[in-house]
Amino acid sequence: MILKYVLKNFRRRKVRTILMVLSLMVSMGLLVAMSATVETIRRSNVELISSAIGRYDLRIQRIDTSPDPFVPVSSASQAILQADNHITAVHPRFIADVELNAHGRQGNATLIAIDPTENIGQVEVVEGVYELGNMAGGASGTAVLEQTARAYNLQVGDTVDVAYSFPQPREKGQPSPAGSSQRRAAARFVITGIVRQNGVIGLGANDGLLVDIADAQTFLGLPDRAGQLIALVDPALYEAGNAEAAALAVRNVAVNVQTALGDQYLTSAEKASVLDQSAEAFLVLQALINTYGLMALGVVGLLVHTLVMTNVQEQKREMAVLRILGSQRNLLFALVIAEVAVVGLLGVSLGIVLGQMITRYAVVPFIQWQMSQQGLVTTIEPAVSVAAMLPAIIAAFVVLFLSALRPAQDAAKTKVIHAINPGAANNIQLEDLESLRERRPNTKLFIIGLGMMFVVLMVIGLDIVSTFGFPAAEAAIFLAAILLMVVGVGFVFFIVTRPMEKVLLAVMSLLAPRLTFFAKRNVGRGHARNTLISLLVLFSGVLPSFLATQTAMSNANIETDVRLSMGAPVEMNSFARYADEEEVARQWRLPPSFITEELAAVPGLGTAVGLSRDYFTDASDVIAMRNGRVTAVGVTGDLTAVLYPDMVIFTGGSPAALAQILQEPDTVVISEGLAEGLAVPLGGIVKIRGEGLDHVTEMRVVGIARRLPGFSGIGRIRTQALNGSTVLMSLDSFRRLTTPLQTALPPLDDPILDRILATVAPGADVHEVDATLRDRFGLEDGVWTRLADVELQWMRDSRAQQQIFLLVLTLISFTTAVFGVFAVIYVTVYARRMEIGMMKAVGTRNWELTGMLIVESIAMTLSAALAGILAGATMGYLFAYTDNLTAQRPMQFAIDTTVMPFIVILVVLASVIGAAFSARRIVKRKAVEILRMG
Amino acid sequence: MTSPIIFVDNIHKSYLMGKEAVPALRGVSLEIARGDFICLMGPSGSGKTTLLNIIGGLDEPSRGHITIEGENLVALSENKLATLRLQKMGFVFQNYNLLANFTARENVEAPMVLAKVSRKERMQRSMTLLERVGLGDRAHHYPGELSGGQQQRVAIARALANKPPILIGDEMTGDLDSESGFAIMRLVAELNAEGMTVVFVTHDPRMAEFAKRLIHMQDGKIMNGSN
Repeated sequence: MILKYVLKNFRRRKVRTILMVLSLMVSMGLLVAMSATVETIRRSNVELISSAIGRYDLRIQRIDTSPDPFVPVSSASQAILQADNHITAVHPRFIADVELNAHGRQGNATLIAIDPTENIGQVEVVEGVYELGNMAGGASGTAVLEQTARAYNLQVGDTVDVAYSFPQPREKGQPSPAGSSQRRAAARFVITGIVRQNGVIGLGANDGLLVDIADAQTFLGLPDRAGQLIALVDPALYEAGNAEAAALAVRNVAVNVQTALGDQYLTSAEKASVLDQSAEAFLVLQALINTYGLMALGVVGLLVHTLVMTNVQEQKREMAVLRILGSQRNLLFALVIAEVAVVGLLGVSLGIVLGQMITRYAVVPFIQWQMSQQGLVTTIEPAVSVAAMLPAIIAAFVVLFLSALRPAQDAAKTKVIHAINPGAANNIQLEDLESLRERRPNTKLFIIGLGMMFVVLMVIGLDIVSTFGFPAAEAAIFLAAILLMVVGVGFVFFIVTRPMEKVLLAVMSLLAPRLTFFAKRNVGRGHARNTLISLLVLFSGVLPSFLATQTAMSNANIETDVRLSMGAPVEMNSFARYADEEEVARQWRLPPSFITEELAAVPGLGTAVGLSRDYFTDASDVIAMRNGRVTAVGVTGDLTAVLYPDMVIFTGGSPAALAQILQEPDTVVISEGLAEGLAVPLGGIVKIRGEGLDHVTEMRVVGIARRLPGFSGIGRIRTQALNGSTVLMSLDSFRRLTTPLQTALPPLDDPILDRILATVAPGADVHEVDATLRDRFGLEDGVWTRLADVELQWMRDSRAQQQIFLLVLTLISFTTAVFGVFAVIYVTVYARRMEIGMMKAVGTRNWELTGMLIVESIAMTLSAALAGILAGATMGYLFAYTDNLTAQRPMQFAIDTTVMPFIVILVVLASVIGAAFSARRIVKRKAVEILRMG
Repeated sequence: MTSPIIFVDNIHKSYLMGKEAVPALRGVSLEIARGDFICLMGPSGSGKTTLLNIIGGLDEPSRGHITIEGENLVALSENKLATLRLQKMGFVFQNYNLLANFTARENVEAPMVLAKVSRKERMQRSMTLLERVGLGDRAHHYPGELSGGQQQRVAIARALANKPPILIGDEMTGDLDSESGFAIMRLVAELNAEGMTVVFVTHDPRMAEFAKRLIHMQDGKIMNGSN
């Protein structure tokens, strides 16, 4: 009976039912698509990492103290496969540095010996064919990577000689033996093709040659042996709820393998490790998308609530008749719930189909395009799993139930008097007496209390989850924080909707005075529904405007940020800066002659100044009353010649101090924060502790800098400065400081530099300079080069992609808001039909009536959208300013010019279409027909 | 006799109930002179409201002609009919139909806004009219703050806003108590005495007594007078 009644109601109110189903379908579709996007992005993240690190999951090799550095392939493979049933395949490999001899040129390259059947990663043929192994005539074929081919000027058909030095086993606790002779093996290969690899090994390894592992085993004389084994695990492991869980699942497999093989082996899971590190960033993205999704569903909830409430009000009389006929209140409650449930079933089912289509035809191609922009060739399958959809489905039904609850309760409270005398129905009836006497728990106070406690609850919650490290809860708290911010800011800025409405109406009254006369009163004096529309639009506008403002600010400041972080047009960092151990770092440091000899020969490169390694020590005033941690850095030349001059700020002395420290021994430039912290003025003395016993050097302050681009340790904040401020001195002073007192100073050309800042010669092509620096020093000397102009271009491209992402999210967020606006306007127009009928009767034309409703609708929604934009933008600026203030960055003001106008256009369109469509259904009728509808 | 302000000639009106045409008026003819005060009475379904709506230009006849001050309503477009209603008719409905978000004065102003009356004149005239109906002190009250009788008086003031020659009333006193009803009818009678043509429908014989001419309708026909 309930279903029959519900279906009849649907037939009676076709437009409302269609609106509810449609809005639910769209928002559900978008939510499913968003969930699938999260899933697909996560997968693409795995893909991205696979592409960068290699498309395998585990790498197994002997530890370097093992007497036998090579892995027995058959037995180890079997043990690995048996160690964990998630392992699907094991392949042997040799990845080693070899000497390469071709065309009379000798150098180094990476030998990548693989099983040609392993099918891991992709090999793209640039020239020739990809054919490894035995060729006609008994020669062995190799595919040379493009970069190596270019460096050695290799062609298909050429031969290359490869020489491999066998590793010397290291004694446990002892360094590798130096100077001992190593066994060598050599082989000749014929080049069958010049190729690029993606995911065979890491992205960085584009310098080397691919050979068949059987050939490598033969020429090394190591049958059934390999340098390492790589293992693949079941891809389903990566489909865990989040990146961290996936990484941990893979780690468990690695642990099982390690246990099975014993302590002579080292199992590493680089892919899982990077995935684990990316988990936090992913968590933020997931929370952001979920926030959009929940807001979209919230809007649908409000819409359903409004429409169902209107239905209930209209059906009061009918429900009262049902009560007279003996129906229980439960039945009336059930009628409303059933109505919403049927709408929910229809909307959600259609939404799932829509979501799958959006994912397949929009999301996945977009992600694939984005990845191809980053040079990653991969195929992504749309991830619309049940797991991805389930949270969306549950969220939709919870929201629907909550939105139907109040109307259902209202229906259940229907009094019989509604059928007898509707006018008196609101008076207290006999049946109200019972509830009037009953003392009930005050839910309002409960909610207010909960709201007031929320901040504390969140702080406690955050403490708990950070203590126990529960990522899902962290995401939930982050999500709640974003939602709270949106809702809170929305409420705060709701106050400006009225003044904005007034301004808009004043402007409109200049264009259409008669229409505005009516709109002005209705906008200003209609309460419940106008507030609902305003809030719907306002909330939808806050988050996109917030993110858009942050993006705009960040876009406007890209150049400043890049210049500030790099310090000079060219920044070269030695791999030593990234080494975990001093032993390793020392191998990569550069001698000062690198600047005068090697860099001086690079065409297009201007002046270069070298910076020593960081020396972490303490500084104090003369009597050590005040002290702090400092990082001493020696410089080889005058930094004013390379640093961006407009970003240099000195509060004591002048930039000339950067030259002065080179000429006067034991002089330093310190930060404003350190000068204040130690209370040392310009010309004052700071005592810096040097290396070794009793080594304290008194240094005179010749410059106090507030900001030096490229030096994050120079700033004005005192507390930060006392925990690691940079102190600049000449390289000589630095060498003295870092050498113990009774020890001879190291040779002048001792490798000591970690970083070089340089300029580009006027008129030089930055891309050419970039390529030359990378080619010459990238692999061989371990120097990572960044050119500000190239960096800027790359960042701008990447920001453009972010902008697209933001627009898509805004569209998602506003599509449901548009439905909300549409539905509320529809209901409002319907509810005001008597008024419309009367207006028509007294002589108002159809277009005037439609115009009035459009003006009303635009005034309400546009003012709310503007308030939302204002709220979001204010928050965006607040965040950006605070962030820059803390980081002591200069900042340029910027206004978003894409998302915000997009919001305005969407809102105006929704208002015009919503009002025109809703009005048309009533206005096109004759006045008497409308009046009879009442 | 002067030329009639309203001339109804052999009007028929049928409504479609499903596929079946149900006649509401069956060849009604009527002449109403300027300054006339006519009451249409009859049982439910007799066609009195249909006739009133057709006279007021709110509905159109299926057949026949109707002229208001010599203008054939049947030939008028929707927009022209709206203009005619705006200039020549004042409507008073049973349930007042005031704009809920507008004050009493703004409700009276509304038709003047549509008729492009200047703001100054609108303000002046709306106050005069409210004072005329005895609600000068209630000008800034919203309909929800007024009694039924007061709301109906605002509706009358609104009907008079554009100085129409004809007042159409549909069960003007239907929702009011006797005292308020009589007060409204006295007001309407005063307006008629000042030269306004009034046509109204009522079920209440006591209110009908205010009319100069009573027309009884039954089954879509006028029972006493010209058909």
